[in-house]
Amino acid sequence: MSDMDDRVRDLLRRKADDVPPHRDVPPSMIRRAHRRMAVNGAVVGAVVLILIGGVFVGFQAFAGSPPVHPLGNPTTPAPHPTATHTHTPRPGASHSPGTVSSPSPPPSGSTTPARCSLAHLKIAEVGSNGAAGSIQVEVSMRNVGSTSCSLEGYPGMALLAGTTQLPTTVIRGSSVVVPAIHPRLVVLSPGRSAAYVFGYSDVPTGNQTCPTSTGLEVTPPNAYQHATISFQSTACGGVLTTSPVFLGLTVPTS
Amino acid sequence: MNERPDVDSGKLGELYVRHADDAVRLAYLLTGDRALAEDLVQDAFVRLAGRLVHLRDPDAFPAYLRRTVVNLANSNFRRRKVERTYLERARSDVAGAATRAPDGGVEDRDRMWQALEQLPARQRAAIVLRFYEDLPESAIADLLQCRPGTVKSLLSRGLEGMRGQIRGDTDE
Repeated sequence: MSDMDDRVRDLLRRKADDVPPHRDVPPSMIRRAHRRMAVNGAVVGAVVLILIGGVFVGFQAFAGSPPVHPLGNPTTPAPHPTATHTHTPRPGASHSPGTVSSPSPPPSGSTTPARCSLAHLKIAEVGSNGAAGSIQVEVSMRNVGSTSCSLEGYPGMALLAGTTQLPTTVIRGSSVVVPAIHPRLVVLSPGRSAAYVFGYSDVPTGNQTCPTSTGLEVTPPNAYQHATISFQSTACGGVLTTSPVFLGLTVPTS
Repeated sequence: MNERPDVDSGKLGELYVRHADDAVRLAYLLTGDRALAEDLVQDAFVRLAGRLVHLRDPDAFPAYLRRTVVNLANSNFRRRKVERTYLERARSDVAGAATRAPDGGVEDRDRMWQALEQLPARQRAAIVLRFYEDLPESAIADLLQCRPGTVKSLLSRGLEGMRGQIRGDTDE
């Protein structure tokens, strides 16, 4: 075996020595190398452009898609009027009374006017009535924009103590002070108002606590942003039962 | 080779002058065709030109070049398999009439060279990398993308094939 190994080794060395040395760089090879590098650069550039385009299109598609509402911000009409939404406190929610945060995107592909964003609306407490421990509060949403917009469904709410959110549970439906109202599309021309009513109890049940609130975050239906209004209450358990938004300020009778 | 290779023609040319001889010799031993070996090495340099900027260790260039030459030679063998089969048949007809010497002279080396040329590409590559490049079996396995045990087998069968070929020629 070793003899064969040596013979093969010797053969290969001798054959390799037959190859003459290379001193000149073939110009054709340099040209081909440059062409290849140019093609590689073009391919890399095209891939980068496609990736950037894909990211841009994806971002556009994401921005134009129907909103996914955060927990505690009721959206379209609830299938069950007694659906319950617990508002999870969000850090840093601090707004001056009646001011707005930012407009929310309008729905796409709809024949109805665009959804009312906070830029369209001035939100204010209309008034409250109370009897036997149950309090009814009416909140208005007036279109202060120059174009019509629409609302449909239930608002979102969170109680505030100063700038701190209190644990809040929003129940969509009716109570002794909130009439049963079916959710309907409300179109607001400029200057017109919509409203909703909500109720709460200031008499504790069981071991409920009734924390004192000084403000209320209100999120219009199908919106991402909220307005903050001044709101003094002692809602026991932080439970608020709300109606959907209706046209005008007159509370419909159930 | 301690500086980082660049993609401009000056650097590529410098690398060519420095490494082309070794690469062409290897390609020649792998293919048995000097002109083809030159072409393969130029192809290898062209392929590597676009990757030089990604080469972190400049000293690794000879290994990259060797790997590219081996891969190109193997690809070339696959492409030219039909042609090679025809040439082998024609060569075996001529071999019978060739002048032979009983000792280890020129004719003996020619017979060994012909026997090497008739080996399958991977056996031939294993033999060249082991006995010319003096690479360990693990490095050959890495280049041929197989296990070290497979390299042992390729070497054993390659040498046996050459022996058989030479014996057959001598017996005729």
